[in-house]
This record gives sequence, structure tokens and C-alpha cells, in this order.
Amino acid sequence: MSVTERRASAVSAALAQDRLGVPSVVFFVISAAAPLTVIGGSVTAAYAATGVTGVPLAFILLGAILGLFAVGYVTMARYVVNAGAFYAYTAKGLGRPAGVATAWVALLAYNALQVGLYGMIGAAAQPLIADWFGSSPPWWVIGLVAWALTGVLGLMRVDVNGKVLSVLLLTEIAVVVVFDIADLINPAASGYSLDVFDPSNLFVPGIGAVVAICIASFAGFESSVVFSEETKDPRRTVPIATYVALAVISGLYAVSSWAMTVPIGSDKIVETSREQSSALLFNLAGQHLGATIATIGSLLFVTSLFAALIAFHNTISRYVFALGRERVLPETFGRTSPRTGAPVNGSVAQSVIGLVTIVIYAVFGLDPVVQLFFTVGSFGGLGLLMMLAATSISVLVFFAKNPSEENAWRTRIAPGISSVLLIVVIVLVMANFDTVLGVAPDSPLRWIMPAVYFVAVGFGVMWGLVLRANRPKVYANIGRGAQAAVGGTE
Amino acid sequence: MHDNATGRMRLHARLTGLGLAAAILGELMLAERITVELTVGQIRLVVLDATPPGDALTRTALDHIVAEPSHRFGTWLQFLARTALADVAARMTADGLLRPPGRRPSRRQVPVDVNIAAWPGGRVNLAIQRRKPLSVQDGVLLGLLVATGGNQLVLWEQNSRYLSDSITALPPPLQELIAQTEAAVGDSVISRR
Repeated sequence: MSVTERRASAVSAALAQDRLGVPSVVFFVISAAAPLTVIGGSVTAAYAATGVTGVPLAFILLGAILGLFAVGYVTMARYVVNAGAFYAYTAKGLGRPAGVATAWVALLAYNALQVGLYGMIGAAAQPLIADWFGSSPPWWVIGLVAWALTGVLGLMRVDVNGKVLSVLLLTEIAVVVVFDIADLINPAASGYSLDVFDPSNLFVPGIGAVVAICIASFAGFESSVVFSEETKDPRRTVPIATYVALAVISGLYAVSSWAMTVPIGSDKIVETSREQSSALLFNLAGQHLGATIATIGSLLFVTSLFAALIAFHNTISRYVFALGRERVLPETFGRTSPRTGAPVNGSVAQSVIGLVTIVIYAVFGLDPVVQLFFTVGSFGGLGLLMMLAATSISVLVFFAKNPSEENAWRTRIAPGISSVLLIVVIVLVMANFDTVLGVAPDSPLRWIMPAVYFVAVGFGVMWGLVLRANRPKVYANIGRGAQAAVGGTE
Repeated sequence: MHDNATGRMRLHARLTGLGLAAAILGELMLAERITVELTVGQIRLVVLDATPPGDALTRTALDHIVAEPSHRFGTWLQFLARTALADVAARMTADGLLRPPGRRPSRRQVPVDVNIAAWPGGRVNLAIQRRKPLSVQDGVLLGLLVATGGNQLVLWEQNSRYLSDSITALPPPLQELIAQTEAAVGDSVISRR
């Protein structure tokens, strides 16, 4: 369609009025990544749990790998209905049974990322509540309150309102930048050091655990392509927005995780993170900027965690909904609430998983930050890596099977390099899974946990084959999401 | 689909809009002005007869389709859904079915005669109860209720066998209309719009 033709179209013009430009999509993607959650929570957890100081370098390297991955991803997105979901890509590239397997992995991984946040929000709110009221309930009480609010908002289909989200996000970023500057002008006695960017401080035993928690920090960037149909110029807006968002996120994470080491000294960051945990960022701010600013920061940390909880909850309930619409999951999951248009049963299912997790952790007295946020979050990170690798390979296969006008860089070179790198990263994570779990290197758990994903893949492939044999109509629509209602036209 | 005493919406505005947009296209299909065709790998609307229909609402919609035949079916639903609720309310007000909006800021409207408003729903419900086949028009109504989830609000009995049989009894273009509506509703849930 030529430009003049498009301009003349009353229909396109009317629909274009509420279309999105690059800034809106970038904004959306960054907010899905929840920067303050990562810098306040994941970064200190990474230093503390892994004892590796190369965290800032890990963010830069992962940002670069994801950038390469995104080249093929956004290119293939134009050929995929239901483009926001990785399993739609693997269904197209590697076959529908692989699609179902990816969907199962996605449900596991996203749920792990979501429930991990309940531990962190509990731990993060405790000092604030203790400050105001003299004492604080245990973390799991706060976790349950956050859980209840998330569940109710999910059922009411309250996506945190765009404007509220923008204000929160901008304040979050402002806080991070101000904290960074304060850290940078107050160096430790040992002076400035760029040690944390030295590869020899990252490529050590434990690197895999750093990578797992860091990749989890990028979760959500894949949602940029959801807006393909809603952007002014899908061929340009979505790719540019994705690259910009990745650059901003990884830059912000790398600089902030470095800035945090400056007033402490890179030799002491691990020890200090272990002592202060998620309070570290705000304690530093308290020293340099005063208690009020530090409290505002801690408060925003909690709201950021809450926004992330809702975002992941909604992602999961939509995933379940899409699978219900395809009839890959029981039809009831594809139902919406008439009054709110929310994917009700998907939302309830996610809430049940959250509740069970909080209760188990409370009953067994497990640590909310290390054992829930870090361990379960990193477990989710591994799942995310597996989906990224499978999607990247799907891009290669898809364009090999369906020649197109796209150039080789987009269809072969970038996806090829990113596939290899992602597989290397997965091997690293698996090799260090004892550190991720905080167990002895010979503990069977280190193999059992990653094996869960392989079991999910096995069952997914099997279910795909069962559908092929028994319900060919359902099988034909795997990966099409809501468009499954309309018989395939491709 | 509104509460007949307060005029409060019972079905989410976005879903109502899509359902009414589909109903407008359904009227044009039943009047044999348009149909559905698979062209260049896309499901599109095709004009069979450009004779203007009697009322302004479907006439405007038909004019748009005549002017721009190259859009996908889904695009038409999105386009019409933007204004369908207001347009249909205006037509019903003009036909004396709804009371004109009062001065209340909500501009909620209530039916003039509750019995007339309740009749189509009642007719479908009775047919379901008696397991009688539906007329084509009522079949479309039922299909659109199911596609938007409105069936959970107005049907006395959720007999999924009867519901799917009624939809498959419709002529193929109308079945496509219902499937497209279901897909558009699903997309609006997934894409958070």
C-alpha cells in the first residue's frame, strides 16, 4: 500500500489516531522490565548470592546478545500472529509440538519470575513498616497482601493505568539516576575502579548464576512486538523501540550496578551486599542524600515491585487465555469476564500458584530474598533463556523454509550468532546451577530443578502429538492465539 | 446490553463495541449487501449490492466498505467498534426505542418499553429451552452473544451443544462473522486494549 493510498483511507486514518509511536512502545517495554526492582533487588542479590563482582559487565554482554536476538525476532514477528508469545515462533519454526513445549516452559518460567517477587516485596516493605509503626509483620503477611491485591486487580483487568505507570516509571528512573550520581561523587577510600567491567571478574565459577538472575531482569522486553498491529509504522516502530529499550535498560543496569560499588569498593561489594541485601541501595542513598530521599527510594522500590507483580500476573493470565482460545488448554481458560473483559480463569490459576508458593515458603520458614526471589527468579531466568534460544533457532529455520525479501543479516547471520551465544549461556547457567540454588555442588537438586524444564518440554511435545492424532483442528491452530477462532488462512 | 433500570453497562465497553460492530456487518450480510471472501490470503468483505440500505447507520458503514474494499475483516470490526455503541444508541433513540439521554453527565439511556427491549433475548432463551431451531437473525444474535461472552449474562441455560449447533447451522459468511468477532474479542484481551 503506497503512502498516498494510506493517507486517503478514512478507515486507516481513524484507526491510526490511537496508534503508538516509538516513545510509547519504549516506555511500555522499560516499565515491563521494572528498573528499580532490578537495581534495588536483583543486583544486590546477584552480588550476594554469587560472590561474583562482574555483574555490570554481565548486563552489557546480555544486552548485546539480546540485541542480536532481537534482530531476527522483530523480523519474524511480522509473519507471526500472536506475536507477543515465544511459543508462536517455535510453533512456526520448529513445528507445533515444539510450540506446545515452549508454551509449557513459558508458563513455568513466567510464574517463577512472578512468585519470586512476592518474597522481595515482603522483605522490602518490612523495614518501611517497622519505621512507621515500630514493628513489622513477617514477610509472608506482606506477600499475601500483595498477592490479594494482584489477584483482585487481575480479575478487574486493571492494567496499571498508562499515565500512573508513566509517572511511576519516570520517578523510578529519576531516583536511580540521582542515587547513581550520589554514589559516583562519593567514592570509597580506594578511589574509582572499573574492576567490575574486567572480564576476569565475570568469567569465574558462578558466572552462570549471575547470568540467570541478570537475564531475568530483562524479562518483558519481548512484549514490544505485541504492539505490531497498533503502531503507526510496524516495520520501523517496533524494531527501533525494541533496540532503544534494550540499550536503555542494559545501560542503566550496568551503570547503576557499577555505581553501587563505587562508594563501597569493588573488593567489598559482595560482603556488603550479603550484610544489607536489598536495603543496600537505599542505605547508600541515606548516607549521601539524607533519610527522606532514602525513604522515598524504598517506597518506590515497593511500588515498582508491585507494578512488576501485576505486569507478570497479566502476562501469565493472557498466555493461559491464548492457550485456552486455541483449545490447547481446556476451553474454560479462554473465557473472559463479561463485565471486565478480563481473562478470568487464567488470572485465578496464576493466583493459586502464587498462594501455594507463599504458603510453602512461610510454612517451611524459607528465606524470602535468597531462596524465593533469587533462586526461583533465577530458575525463571533459565526458562527465559531456553525460550530465547528456541525462538532464535526458530527464526533461522523459518526463514530457511520460507524465503523472503528480508536480508541475510536479519534472517541468518544475527539469529545464527545469537542462537550459538544463547546456547553457550544456557550451558554456563546449568553448570553453575548449584550456585543458583545455593546448594553444595554435589546436591541432586542442581540437576532436578533444570530437569523440570526438560520434563515440561517432553510433556509439551507429547501433548502436541496427541493433539495431532486426535484433534487435528486444534493442532492446526497451535500458536495462533485468539486468531485460532478464525480458521488458518495462511 | 444494559441494565434496564439504571442503563449501566453490563458487558465491558470494548466487548460491546466489537459485538455491535459485528451486528452492523451482520445486518448488511442479512440484507445481502455484503459477503465474505478469501482474497490474497486475507478474509475480506465483498460488496454484493451497493444499493443504500434504509437507515443511516448501515448506509454509512456500506459506503465505507464500497470506498475501501482492501481492508481485512478484522480491520472493519476495529473500525466500526470505535463508534458502534454511540451509533447504535443514536439509531435506537431516533426509532423511539431508547429514551433520549438526560442531562446527567453519564448520558446513560434506558429503554422506552422494557418489554420490547427484552424480547429478542427472551425469544432466544425460549427457543433454547424448547430446543427449537433459531431463525437466521436470532442465530446471529446468539452467535455474537457467545463471541463476546455476553451469553454468560443473558442466557438462562448454557447448553454448549445447542450453542455450537446453532452457530454451525448458519450460512458460512455469518459463521465467519462470528469467528472473526471471537478472534477480535480475544485479541483485545491479549493486547490489553
